[in-house]
Amino acid sequence: MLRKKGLWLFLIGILLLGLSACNTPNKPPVDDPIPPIVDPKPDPKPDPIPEPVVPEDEISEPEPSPYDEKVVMLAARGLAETEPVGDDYFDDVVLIGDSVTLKLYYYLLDRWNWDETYLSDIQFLTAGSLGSGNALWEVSEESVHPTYLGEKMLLEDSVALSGAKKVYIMLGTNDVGLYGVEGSIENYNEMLDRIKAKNPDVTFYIQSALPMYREAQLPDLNNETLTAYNDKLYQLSVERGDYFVDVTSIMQTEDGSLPYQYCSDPEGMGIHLTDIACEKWIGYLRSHVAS
Amino acid sequence: MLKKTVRLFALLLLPLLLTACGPTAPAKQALEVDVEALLELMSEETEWEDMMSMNIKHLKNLYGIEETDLTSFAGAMKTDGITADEVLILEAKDTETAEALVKKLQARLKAKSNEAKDYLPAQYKVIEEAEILQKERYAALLVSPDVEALLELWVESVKTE
Repeated sequence: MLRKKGLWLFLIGILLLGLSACNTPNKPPVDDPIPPIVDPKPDPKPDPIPEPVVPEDEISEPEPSPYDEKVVMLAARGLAETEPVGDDYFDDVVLIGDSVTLKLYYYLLDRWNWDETYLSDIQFLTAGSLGSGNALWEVSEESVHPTYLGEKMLLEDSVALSGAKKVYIMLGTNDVGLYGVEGSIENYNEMLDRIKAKNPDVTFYIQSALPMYREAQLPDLNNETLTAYNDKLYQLSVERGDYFVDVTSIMQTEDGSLPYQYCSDPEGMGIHLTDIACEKWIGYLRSHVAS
Repeated sequence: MLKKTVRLFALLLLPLLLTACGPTAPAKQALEVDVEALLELMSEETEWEDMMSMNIKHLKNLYGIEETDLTSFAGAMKTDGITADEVLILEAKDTETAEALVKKLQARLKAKSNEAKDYLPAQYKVIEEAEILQKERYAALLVSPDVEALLELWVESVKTE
């Protein structure tokens, strides 16, 4: 009888031991489970009313360089100078372009890290190598159509999805050398037609193609051919009734070169922009709008 | 008879308790990576300069990645428009989502490759040697001239016992 009772007691003891072990959470030991004592802080003062933020385009202050060149302001064709518009003007703007515009996009991506509201709703459809010629290709694994929210598609489709009403375009650098001036303009016209067919309520703002740094010019792609291209592009905009935005008028030296201080790759392709050039560009778009 | 029943009961119960609570069968730990710390490590290791930190707006615009798919992320990229360097580490909400995000990373890499192919040969080479990686709910895109060093850090970070 006593042995039976002892056995029962032994079993119950094991059960209780087992259950209490199971109740212990399976967590690693905590080094300091006691929360630190924090001195109570005095009530903070109410935040002051913030000053209204006025968009400021030019914030870069590059070190002056002996290589800086004098920028010549040419008489602009197309849209004339107007009072600068605020950020909300760009809420329904999409910019289409190649690596030159891609740099403007990246400039804004960078700026949005500390100036979130600056041109915050502007959209971009950019791809390095994009031109009015390859924009007409079918979308394929190898095509260079810009992606919209990560998906590659035809410009007419991405413009539609963007919902933008003002379509700014800067292309040409990847066209003139391949298709010549005439061929490039024909492609451009076709590209505009296709976008318009799918998006009848958009307005085009055709930007002149920027010049190259003089040392980077090539036999078929140089400032002479780009000037001829811009002349034809302006004519095209007049014929079509689209707006022409002559950004080039503030982006060249006396000899028609992209100024050294505006060029991020003077020893390379000589077509890409520095931050200060991007700021000048945005300032120009702000102050040359349709009434 | 009673003794026998008690012994049987004890024999059945004890192994059960030992299996459930014993230290010999720990539950498999889910992989835990501090993606921000990993990116910082990569940054220090390769001493990259002028790389822009990515925020969720960048991820949506450039990759089409939604915030709701992520638990955390850390990324940095060159913004001069002519240098391909881009590093992004994602912690997805689960493994299935991470697998879907890999496709978005692949699409981004392919777009970069197509863009650089004909006019930026040195950058094209960097892009061609880039790595897209995934383990459990983590995914990464490593586009850098120092891709091997970054890859080592990734491998070390996602190493499990």
